[in-house]
Amino acid sequence: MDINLLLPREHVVLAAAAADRAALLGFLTAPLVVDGTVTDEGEFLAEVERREQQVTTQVAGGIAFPHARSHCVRRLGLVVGTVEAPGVPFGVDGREWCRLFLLIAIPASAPTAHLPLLKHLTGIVRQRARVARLLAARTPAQVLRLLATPRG
Amino acid sequence: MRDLLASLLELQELEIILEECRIVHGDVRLPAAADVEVRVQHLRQSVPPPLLRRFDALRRLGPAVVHEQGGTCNGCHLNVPRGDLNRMRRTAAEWVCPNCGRYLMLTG
Repeated sequence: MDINLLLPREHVVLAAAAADRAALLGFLTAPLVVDGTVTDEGEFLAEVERREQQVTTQVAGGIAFPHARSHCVRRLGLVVGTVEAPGVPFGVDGREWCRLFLLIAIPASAPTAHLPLLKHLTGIVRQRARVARLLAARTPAQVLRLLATPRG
Repeated sequence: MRDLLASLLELQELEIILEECRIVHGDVRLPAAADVEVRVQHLRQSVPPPLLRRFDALRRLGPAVVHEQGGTCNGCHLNVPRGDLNRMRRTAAEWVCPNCGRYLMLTG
């Protein structure tokens, strides 16, 4: 999977200064709005929230894959974000904290287009050493390198 | 037909969510995912078997139900002839895209 096409440098948000889940998702959605991937920020964020309420996308290790299908998404989009420790409360009950976020925007017309991307990303975040390096990354280029290959 | 396709659309959405759960959470069983599974079973029982068989066959290739927007199928992005759309609206024809064969949820 060529992640470079989906993840321009502007789609990497390092050390986002967000106090809660809503603020964080707003930070992460901004690059998608700027480049026209998402045409209606409010609608997209509402869909992300709705999806999160159905079944959480948070996994062990403080990682989450918020995503949503929406008519306001023009093409598949990915934004990677990190926050400084201790992170942001993300789980539905607000008890679990996350530091690494992989936000995926999915066009309603291609509702399964993101599944190969999701497989690729989950394969990467199951490697603890790789997650530690992602959280320590200081430039978008480092993040891109870490996400580009399934192993390494 | 609209109610039936609304059920199929919901079924498609929930099945995709379960697929996402399998990818993201692996073998971890979440209570919320179990609730989704129950709803999927309920929807499957409410849809006539011939439609469900066609739905499953289409789902193996990708989305089975798509929206029509301005006379265009959102699945194959080709125009649907106006005559076909009119017949579908009169329920004289099945709500299926004549180009790609997907179930077509008509607007309006």
